[in-house]
Amino acid sequence: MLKWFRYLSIRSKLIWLVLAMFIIPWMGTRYVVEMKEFLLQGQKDALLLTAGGIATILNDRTELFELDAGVPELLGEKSDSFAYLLPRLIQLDGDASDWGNNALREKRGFTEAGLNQCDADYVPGNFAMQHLLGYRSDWLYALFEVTDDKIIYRDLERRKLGNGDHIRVLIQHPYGPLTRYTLVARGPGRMTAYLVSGDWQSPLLGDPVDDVVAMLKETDYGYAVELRLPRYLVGRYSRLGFNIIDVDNHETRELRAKISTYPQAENTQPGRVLLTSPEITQLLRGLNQPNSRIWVIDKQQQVRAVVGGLTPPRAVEKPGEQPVTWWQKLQRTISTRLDALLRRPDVVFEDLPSDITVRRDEMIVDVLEGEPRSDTRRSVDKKVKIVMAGHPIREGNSVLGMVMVEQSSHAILRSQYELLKSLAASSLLVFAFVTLALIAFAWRLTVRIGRLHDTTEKAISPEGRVQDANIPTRAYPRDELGDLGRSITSMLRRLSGYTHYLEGLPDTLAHEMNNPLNVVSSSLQILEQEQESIRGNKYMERAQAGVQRLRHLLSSLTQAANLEEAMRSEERKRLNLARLLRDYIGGSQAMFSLHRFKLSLQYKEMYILGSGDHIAELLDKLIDNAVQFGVPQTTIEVCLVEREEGLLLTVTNEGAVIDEGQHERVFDPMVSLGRKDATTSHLGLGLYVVRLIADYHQARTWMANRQDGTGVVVSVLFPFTEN
Amino acid sequence: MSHTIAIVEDDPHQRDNYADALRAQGHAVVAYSNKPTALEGFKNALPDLVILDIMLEDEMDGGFDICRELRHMSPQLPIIFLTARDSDIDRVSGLRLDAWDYITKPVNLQFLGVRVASLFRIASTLKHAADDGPVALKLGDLELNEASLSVSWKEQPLNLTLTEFWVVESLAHNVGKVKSYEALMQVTKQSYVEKNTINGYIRRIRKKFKQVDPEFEYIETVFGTGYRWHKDT
Repeated sequence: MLKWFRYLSIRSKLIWLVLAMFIIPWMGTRYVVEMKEFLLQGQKDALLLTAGGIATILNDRTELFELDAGVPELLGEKSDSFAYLLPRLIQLDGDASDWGNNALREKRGFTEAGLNQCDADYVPGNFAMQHLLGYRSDWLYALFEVTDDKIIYRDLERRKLGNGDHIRVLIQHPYGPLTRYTLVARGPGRMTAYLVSGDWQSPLLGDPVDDVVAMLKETDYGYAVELRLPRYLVGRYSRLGFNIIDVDNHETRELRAKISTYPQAENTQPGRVLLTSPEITQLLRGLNQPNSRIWVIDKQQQVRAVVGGLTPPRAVEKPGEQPVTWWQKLQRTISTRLDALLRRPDVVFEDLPSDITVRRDEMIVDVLEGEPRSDTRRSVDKKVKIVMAGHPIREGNSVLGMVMVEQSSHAILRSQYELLKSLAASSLLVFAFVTLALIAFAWRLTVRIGRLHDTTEKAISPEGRVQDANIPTRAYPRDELGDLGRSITSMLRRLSGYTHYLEGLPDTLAHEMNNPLNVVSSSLQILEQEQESIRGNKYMERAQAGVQRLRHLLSSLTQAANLEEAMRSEERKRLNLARLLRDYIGGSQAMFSLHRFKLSLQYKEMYILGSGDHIAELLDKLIDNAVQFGVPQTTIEVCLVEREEGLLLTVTNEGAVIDEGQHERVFDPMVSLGRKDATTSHLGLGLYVVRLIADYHQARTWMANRQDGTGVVVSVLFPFTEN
Repeated sequence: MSHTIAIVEDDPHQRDNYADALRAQGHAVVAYSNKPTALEGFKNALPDLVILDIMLEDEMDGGFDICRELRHMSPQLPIIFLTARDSDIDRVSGLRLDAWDYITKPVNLQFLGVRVASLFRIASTLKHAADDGPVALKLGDLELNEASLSVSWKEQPLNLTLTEFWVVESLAHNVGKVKSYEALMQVTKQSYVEKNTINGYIRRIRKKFKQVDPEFEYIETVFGTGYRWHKDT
């Protein structure tokens, strides 16, 4: 599977390994996610316990879930504003002192916000209203403290009902008609209430109604009204709204301004009806926890009470310490970048409004069947996850309703985010460092291996001779690579020793063979002298010829070894190779009568740095080779031309070609191209001597077949002289 | 007058062959096979000429040691190294010990006789005349005296072997003319000579001249043919 990995360089392999290390932060992330799940579960359990606890308080409190236990919410108000349980029944006299201080603190002011109709010259101080709602026993009370600069009472002479300052009451029954009452006053004291039609002016019944009672009392700033409604009139699922109408012109009696307790648009479609249980709400208030919301839901999945809010008070961003050290600055920079990357959880999110009347979550069905459950859902704007836990409220064996506690997982998300951030930041830094360190290490390692490779390559010449057995191990510490360098050195030394032995072998061999040869040779000489008759004997002559051949062989063997020794002490001089060739070929022609020589020189003077004697020896061997393998009566061409790299000497002869793969080997010692003449020696040392001399002159040698395939070309490329 | 020739050679066949050949030429021969017996013999009676092999039995440089001892006993005793060792180092070592000649195996016994005769002649010249005798050849800065085997360049004596002396003499007798390799091979009076052997002699001769005169350029190579002594002298 990982076959491809084998073909990579060490550098790439290390980079892959570094990449593999990214598993670690991935695991860290996994861990954080798992931990979040764990924390969420913990939160669920805690909420479930809370829900259970609250449910226990509400167990068997059937009366809290009675239909008429609900108090209609003031139209347009938030759910946390509700009718207060009053300390006593109210004396309807326009004096608010009997409402109790607790309730009075909750008085709401309506000014511009409640004004739906007003003239352009409306002055805020001229018309305003303070309002409070309360209940006691079967009665619902409303208090209005109206600021009015000019009180106009009803003029009985006029046909229109609301021709003075008056109060309109709207009761919105669920799915039913709207009931409207108009309360008018002819003066301070009891007001008259009429059930009216949609225009608020026409009484539906001829007589005023008795169940709505209100008293008006003039005050310093205007007037105050106390109003009483029987609770059955509003009941469950109903909504209640009030309008205070101001008439300021005594003559025209025109409606000048209106303050409404609910936003009154053109469209007065009945909205949802919210019914809360004040008792439950009050109970829950004490249990409320920050950042959590408690819902009480009845069997019909109707919301009976809700307290608290999910959104925490907006945290004031701490100014934060100014980064001082470079480390802190770096941390801050990374932190800012990570915020963008990791999607910082938003503190502000939008969720279900508290005034919804029905919860339809799947979980609720289960809980209402008696099963405590917990679940999570997304906030309305999908920004955060909200944990919910529901616990049934029981009455004996039946379920009265349920308590649901909700809490946003923001705190957990926040800590998860912080964890992830610090994890990411530290991983990033550590990885940057580790990666850099690894890359530097890998680079250093490959450089060292490369250097070792280069030195090792250079240690042995292309011909396989050990040039420098010393791999510089000084640069290599005592690690594996250093050891490798040292073992290569020792290997090269041994190889060098063996090569020396091999190089010395022909010499030793020749030396050892010379002694017995000398015995044979001297014995033959004595024999010839002593025995006159033997002189001229053909066998004697053959024996002497054999001795002669043996001597030639032995002398060839020692020649290479002696040559190296001789060259070492020789000095190289500037030498006109062209002239040397001219002289040499001139002299050679006489010696090799079987071949013709053709010399071509590009210029008359072509200089190299060399030793004339050795160049002559090199030519000896080249010509010997050409003569030996050249077809008799053909021409041997010797050519010297100038090339870009130096002076190129070529010796071309017609005859046998060399096989593929032999080109390099022919210059090795003891490699012969073949035998042509059984009486001449073929130790293959001639071209080896050529190479030795060429090496000494820093020249390159090679052999190739002629392009037309009729023979071979031996080339020697001499470098130019310095000057 | 019969001369005594001592042969030190560890190979009995070669030793006997040399001895037989030299005896046939009328010389008295004593033969030794190793250093201790040879030195023992030389203490009793010093021969007139010594032929030494370098490697003697287990002693790599036994011949050189004997030569050193002999020089202590007699500074003018003709000593010839006759050995299979052909390296320049050995030749230089031999000559540093004041050997008169250094020839390599295989040897031509006839030529060996000629050499021995020449050396005896030289030795007797040196023994009987206080000076070097008349100069045989004077060629510019070169002075050759065959009788005493002495060569000098710019009046500085050179230490040449017998063979080297013959080569210089042969070149000097033919100033300006090329001495071919074949001709020079004859001059060295050895059984088997190749072009390279001649090159070797010339190289060593040039080196010796250059030791006394770094500007020495009179032995000229005629590439592919041979050598000649430069005309200008």
